[in-house]
Amino acid sequence: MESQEQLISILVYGIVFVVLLTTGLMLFFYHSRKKITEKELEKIELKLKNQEEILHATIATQEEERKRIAQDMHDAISSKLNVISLTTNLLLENDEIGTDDKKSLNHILSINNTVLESSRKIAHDLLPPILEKFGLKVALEELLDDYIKVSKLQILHTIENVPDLPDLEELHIFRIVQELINNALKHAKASQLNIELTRKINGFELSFTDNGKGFDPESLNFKTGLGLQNIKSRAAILKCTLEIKSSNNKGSTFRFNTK
Amino acid sequence: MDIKIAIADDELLFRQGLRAILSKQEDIKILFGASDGKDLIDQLNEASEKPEIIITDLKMPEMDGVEATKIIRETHPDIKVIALTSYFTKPFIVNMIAIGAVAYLAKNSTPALMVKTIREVHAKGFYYDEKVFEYIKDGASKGITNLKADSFNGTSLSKRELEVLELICQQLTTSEIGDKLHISPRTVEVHRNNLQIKTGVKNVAGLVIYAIQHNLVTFDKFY
Repeated sequence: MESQEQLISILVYGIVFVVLLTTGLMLFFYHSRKKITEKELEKIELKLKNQEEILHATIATQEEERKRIAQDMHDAISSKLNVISLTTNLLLENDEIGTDDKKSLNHILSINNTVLESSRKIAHDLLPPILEKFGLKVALEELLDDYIKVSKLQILHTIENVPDLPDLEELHIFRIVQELINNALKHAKASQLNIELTRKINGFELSFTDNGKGFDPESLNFKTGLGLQNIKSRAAILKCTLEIKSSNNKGSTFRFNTK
Repeated sequence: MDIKIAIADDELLFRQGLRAILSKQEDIKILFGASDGKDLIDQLNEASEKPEIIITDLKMPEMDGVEATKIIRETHPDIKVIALTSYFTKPFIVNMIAIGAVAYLAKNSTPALMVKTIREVHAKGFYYDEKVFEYIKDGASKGITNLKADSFNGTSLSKRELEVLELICQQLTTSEIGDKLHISPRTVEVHRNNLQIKTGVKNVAGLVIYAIQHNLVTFDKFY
């Protein structure tokens, strides 16, 4: 009888041991699995953050390069072209020069002026001097005026002065608007735009509406488009939320808000 | 009588070229050239013979033409500043004129236009071409040109004063205005002074901007 009781207690202990062991093992596996996923998530997050940082750095370098080239265009090219124009004009005033030579000189002058205009345009596209000198409000109004003049686009706009914006942030807002107008013209075939920049206590709000073709904001094609990636990155640098509303044939709205 | 001029531009070759063009004119005398705004102010303060007209580039190292113009307007209000630049766009022009420049020239203008501008400025105190007029008008409607004396609404100007103002805007000289209104040039000057006092502007160029901003003259009459 005693040995039977002994056997039962051994069995009970054995079962308890096995149960404890499995629970322990299960807990251990569960825990380490959780740790692994956590680590993996961390890794992915870090990777994303890195990618974002690289993207921001790329944009920053790109803007610096643009600025440098625009500066060089002005200092090394435009100012020398002005000297050519002046010197050619000086030669043209010389009465001893024959008609044929004068014709050539006038030819030089006219080509020179064309190059001067192109150089000015390229520099302007790279970095509008108005933005540097007169700030975001004047630069945006000038940009919109230019579009109104050269295209049939109807643009309603209210641009408020947003004080205390660092130069670089003004540049990002300017580029976002440039990109949005380009998209509205090229892809959405819009004929009417409404652009509003309002100052807020903690920053600004930018809203952009077009009456173009619209799109599905969830579509892969749209999400991976380079233009929108660029806008999103700039919004992230500006610490802005970006809200996009659009549907087919109903136009699109982009709203940026300082967080 | 020679028109005494000083030139400021950081591009030596451009300064030399401009000198060569202007020195061909018998009525123009170049007193000195400066390589930037600071150099210009220094030379201006030291000069025993002061220029009547300064032609200045806008973008220069050290001190740019905009800052230099602001200083000259304060220290030498009689000297007229002509802005010479490759930035021939609205905000730059409107801003320069609001600061007190009396004419605006593109750097690749023809020598004929440069000389004409200088002579007009010398004779009438300012010279704005059609485009500049358009920009001032546009800038006025958008409030870019914020000149002083905005509280004044122009109603207290006499009929004669308005006539003189209109002829000034048509870029006539004092004696031409006198001939047109059958009054002596001296009387024209009195009216002009009164206009400047009443509107609170510093010079004739200011009067023109004032007239455009307050719609005191009809725009199509300019040309």
